[in-house]
Amino acid sequence: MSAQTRPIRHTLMTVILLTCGAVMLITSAAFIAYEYVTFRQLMVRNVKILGEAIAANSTAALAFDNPDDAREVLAAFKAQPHIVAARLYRSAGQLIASYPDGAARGSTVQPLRADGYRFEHGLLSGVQAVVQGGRRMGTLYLESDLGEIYEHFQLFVTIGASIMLVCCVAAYLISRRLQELISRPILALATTAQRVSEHRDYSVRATRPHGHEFGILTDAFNHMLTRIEGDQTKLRSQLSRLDLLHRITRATGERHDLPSVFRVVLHHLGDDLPLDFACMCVYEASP
Amino acid sequence: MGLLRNTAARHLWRRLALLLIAGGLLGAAAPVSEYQLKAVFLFNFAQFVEWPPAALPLENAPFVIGVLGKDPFGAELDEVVRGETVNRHPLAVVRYHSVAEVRDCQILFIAASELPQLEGILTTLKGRSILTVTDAESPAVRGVMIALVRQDNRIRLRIDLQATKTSNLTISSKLLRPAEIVASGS
Repeated sequence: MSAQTRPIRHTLMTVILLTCGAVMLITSAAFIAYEYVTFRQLMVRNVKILGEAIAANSTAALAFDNPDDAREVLAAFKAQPHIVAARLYRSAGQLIASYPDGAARGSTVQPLRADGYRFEHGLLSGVQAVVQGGRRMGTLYLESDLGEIYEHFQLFVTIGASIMLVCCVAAYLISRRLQELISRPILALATTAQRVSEHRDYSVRATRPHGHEFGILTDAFNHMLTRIEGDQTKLRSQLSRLDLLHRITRATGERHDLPSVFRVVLHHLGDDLPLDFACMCVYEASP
Repeated sequence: MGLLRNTAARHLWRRLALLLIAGGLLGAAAPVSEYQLKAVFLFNFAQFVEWPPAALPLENAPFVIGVLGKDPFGAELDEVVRGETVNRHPLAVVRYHSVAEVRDCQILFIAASELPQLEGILTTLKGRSILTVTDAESPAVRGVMIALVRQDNRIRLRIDLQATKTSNLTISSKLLRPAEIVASGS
C-alpha cells in the first residue's frame, strides 16, 4: 500500500510511531554512549582504588623482601573476580609475587611502562607505584577483564530494549486514540464531499469540529456548498425562464394571427409565472 | 641542591633495589650481602615505626640509627642512609661502644657481640623510646623489639609488641603483617 492510498489513520499512526521510535533510538544511543564513557571512567576509578589499597598493603612486603606476604596481599584480589592477573615488582623491576599465585603469566622483569591505567588488548591494565613515606618501594601491575562493562551493558541493553518495547506499545495505543483528533474531522469532511459528489446534493453540510484550522476548513467547505447551492438555484430558475421563452417562441411560431399569438403568450405566462393579472396591448403608432 | 638530592636518592634506591634482589636470592650468601640487606631493613624501620614526639630529634638534628657493639655493617649502613631523610631529619649512623653512650638515638642495632650484656643493655634502655633491633640468634634476645632471624634462607622479622608498647613506639600494621609476633619471654 503506497503512502497515497494508505488510510490517513494508518499514515498518522505510522508517523507517530516512527517519530517515537527515532527519538527513542537517538536517546538510547546517546545514553549508551554516555554510559560507555562514564562506566569506563568508573571502572578505572574502582580498579585504581583497589590497586592503591593493595599497593599500600604491599609496602612492608617489598621493604622487607617478603614474597610470602606479597602473595598473601595479592590474594586479596580474589574478592574482585574481574582482576585476572596482578604482579608485584621490586623497585628495580624484579618480580616478587604474582596473582593468581604461581601464575607464570607475564615477565619476571617489570616492563618499562609509565604509571597509570589504560585500556588495551581487551583488558584494563594498571601500573601502580608502591610508595611508603614518599619513597617508591616497587610497582604493582594489574589486569582487569572488561566483563564488568559487558555485564553492565547487557543489563543496560536489556532494560533499554524492554523500555523501548513498552514505549512502542504505549505509543501505539495512545496514537490510536489521538490520531482521531486529526483523522476524524478529515474523514467527516471526506464523507460529506463524497456524498455531494455522488448525489449532487449541495444541501448537506459538514459538522464543524473543534480546532482552529479544521473549523476554518469546514466553514470554507460549507460556505462553498452554500454558494454552489445558491448558484444552482439561480441557474435552475434561469433555465426554466429560458425554457418558457423557448416554448412561447415555438408556440407563437405556429400561430399566424396576432390574437392567437397573444392568447398563447398569456396562457404560458399564466401557467408558468405567478401572475394575478396580465394584459397585452397593441400599440399602433399614428401615421 | 634539589637536583643533587634527587640524584643521590635515585642512586641510593637503585642500589637498595639491587640489594633487595640480592636479599631475595640470598640463601647462603656472603655475610657482606646479608648485612647490606639488614642495613636496608634498618633504614626501612624508620618508615614503619612511629616515635612519640618527645623521642624525635629536634629540628635539623639527625635521625640516628645507632650500632652498639662490634659493627657488622662496615660501610654499608652509612651508604644506605647517605642523603636520606626521615620526616625532614637527615639520617645519621652513630656507633656506640657501650650503652651508656646512647643518648639521642631512635633505632639501636645491638650487635651479636653485646649478647652477654644484653640484659643490662635492655634494663638501661627500658622506658626510652628507642627501637631496639638485633640479629643475634639466641633465646637471650627476649626483650629486644625486633629480631632479624634467618629462616628458609631469608631474613624474617620477629617483633616483640609488648616491648614496643612499653617504650611508647607504635609499629605500623603493615610491618606487623610479614613479621612473627612474639611476647616478651617467649
